[in-house]
Amino acid sequence: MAKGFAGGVWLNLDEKIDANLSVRSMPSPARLSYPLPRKGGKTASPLVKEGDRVLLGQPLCADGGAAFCPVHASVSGSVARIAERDIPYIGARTVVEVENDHRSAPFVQKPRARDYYAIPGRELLETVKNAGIESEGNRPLPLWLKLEEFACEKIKLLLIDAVEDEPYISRSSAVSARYPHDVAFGLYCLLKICGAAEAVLAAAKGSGAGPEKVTAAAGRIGYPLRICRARAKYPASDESLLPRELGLNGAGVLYPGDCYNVCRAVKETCPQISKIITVAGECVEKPQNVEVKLGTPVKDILDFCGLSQKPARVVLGGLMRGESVADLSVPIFKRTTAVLALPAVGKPCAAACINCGRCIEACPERLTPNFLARAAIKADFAACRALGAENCIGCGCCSYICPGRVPVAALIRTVQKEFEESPPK
Amino acid sequence: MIRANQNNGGLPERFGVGLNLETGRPPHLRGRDSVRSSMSDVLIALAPVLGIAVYYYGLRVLFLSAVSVACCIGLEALWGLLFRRSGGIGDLSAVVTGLITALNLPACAPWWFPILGAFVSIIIVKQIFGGLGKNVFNPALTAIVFLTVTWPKLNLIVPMPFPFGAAGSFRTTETALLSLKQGVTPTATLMEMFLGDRAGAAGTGAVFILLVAAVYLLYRRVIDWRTPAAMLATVAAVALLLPRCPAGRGVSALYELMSGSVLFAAVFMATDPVTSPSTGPGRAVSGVLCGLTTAFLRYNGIFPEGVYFALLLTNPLSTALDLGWLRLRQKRLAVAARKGGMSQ
Repeated sequence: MAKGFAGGVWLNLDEKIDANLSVRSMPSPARLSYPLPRKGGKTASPLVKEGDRVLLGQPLCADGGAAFCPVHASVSGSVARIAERDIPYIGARTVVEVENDHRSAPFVQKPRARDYYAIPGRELLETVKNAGIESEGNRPLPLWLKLEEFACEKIKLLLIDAVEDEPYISRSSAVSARYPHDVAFGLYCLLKICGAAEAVLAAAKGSGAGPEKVTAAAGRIGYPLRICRARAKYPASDESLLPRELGLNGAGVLYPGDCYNVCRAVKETCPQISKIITVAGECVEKPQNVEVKLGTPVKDILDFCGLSQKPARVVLGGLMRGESVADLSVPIFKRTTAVLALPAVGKPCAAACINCGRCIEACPERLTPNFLARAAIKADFAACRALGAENCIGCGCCSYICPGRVPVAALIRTVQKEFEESPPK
Repeated sequence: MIRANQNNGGLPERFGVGLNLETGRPPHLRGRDSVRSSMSDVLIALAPVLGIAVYYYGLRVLFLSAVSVACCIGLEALWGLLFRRSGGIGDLSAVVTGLITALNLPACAPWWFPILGAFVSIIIVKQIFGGLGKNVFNPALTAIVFLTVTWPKLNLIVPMPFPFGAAGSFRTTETALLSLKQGVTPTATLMEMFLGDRAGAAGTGAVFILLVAAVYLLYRRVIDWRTPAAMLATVAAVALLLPRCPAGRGVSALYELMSGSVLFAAVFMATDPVTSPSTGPGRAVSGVLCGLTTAFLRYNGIFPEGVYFALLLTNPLSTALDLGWLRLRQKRLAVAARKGGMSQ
């Protein structure tokens, strides 16, 4: 099988933020807010009322089945307000605001330790489902749904994606370097759940010692774990491209963060209430990986890490796919991978496509972004469909490479949103 | 560096007053290459071409180039002022157009040739069509074609080179292409052709310099190899099949490749991104079409050089070639999908 995906771009990865790959834990802030999920026509309704006392790990909304995961309170305290709010970049949501009492009174008492290795797969899946773990990666899916899919398709190989191909971001390496035993144990559970025989840990060439630590921990548990090195060419870490990059087609892709969350859920009966994110950017004084409670406002996180200069743009997520926010009261939620505070970039020059075809070379999905952008500007959705706009993985390589500074990826994304809203008859 | 103030809640508080965050769609990172940098690379590649032209034909080439570039920049800036178009001259595309036009003129061309050429290229071919990226034809190419067909004699009389320092009067002679058309071996030897020591348009002769420029542009990824390779291969193949030079097939092919402006056009004009296809197969097909047309016009046309007209004919086909390839690929994908579905 041919190795390596076609296209992609080499990004400057020199901005490695922390050679030790430590993870600092951030104290919970005074007030947290939880936007309740909404997908398709399905909206989560709150299970608590204003003024109610909530406990750490208490579900705030009902399970949305295959559509979305339940949200749990990440601190104990009282519900200060429940209101409809327009959250930048995810749209209008019901937001539950919780006043922290800093007692961390748990909703479920920690059960007595037992032989975790003896827990059967069905029970583990149930635990994952109740913990509301959302899989990392670009598609926000409940982890249990992904695992059931893997089990149905009789996936033989699990691929743990610790490839870091974007500047600043080092969270996957940090998780594997800091919590190798937890990741190895989580992976052991995941293998059991989907009945896969083998696991491979994918890391970028020349990345730190995190992967070796995890394989050592896996060896101690007693299952084999191989390391595969991928090129650090963006977007090698993409769910659909990584198997192609490593020549391991048909593998199910999961993330070190997933393994870590599963470990916490199994060993501590703790739902997903925190997230390890990268806080970086040229305006951040101490760039680092931080474990933050879900619901923490971005402002508090930037406070915690300190700013060295006034940022012009704050991005949630990586530079290539993250969304910029204008309002720093936006909370961290399950999908957030990073907070980047960036200085002003030069004013963009006027965009003009000169038809150079660099975007075609860079597109890992072998699309023709120049023609797609042209059709998108004309709002010719039929043409966009014919050119395969639905297959776009949104990596943004076309916009990155474009010498004419055409916002190609943004145009294609707009077309995809249009498709989602009005599916073809 | 401003220090964080832990007492009043850290820096966002302090910055909070004027924290006016901009928003933009991802990606928040852009590559270093721009239209300007590509055009700068083309200018870097053109510099030695200009240098060797000055060496062979004297300072008059520099004068014509200066007039041409100045007129192109002036007209582009004027249009920008008149119609309040953004972009302007910053992308350096006008400089490239001006220089390419001048290098395709014979050194003895009258001083007003480049002025007229600039008007045709910048105003008529580029700006009226909507500016950079919207033009159907290559601006410099159209200017040359316009001047050639309007003053055929002036453009056909080409001076012999007189390496730097020699007397400055133009001795005109017939070009290698004219000899080939008459079915005789050109007077210039193959080595002289390779060095550019032969009669012709000022910047198009020095084969070795053009090859170096091509390698530089390929290395900088400003041009794609497919169009020029397909074009030159086709011209050579036709010459091998139907040699015009009595000295033999191989010699004939070499003369065809090194004479006239075909090499310059293949490196600098056929690779113009705006007027050439953007898909790989589209580029290859357009190169083959252009090579065939060049050979056909050289063998049968009134003018000895056919490459300009050939490019003019293939330029408007670029989008059609791209879309044709995409449709073909879609059909192939559909067939593959159907077969895959049946086998399951």
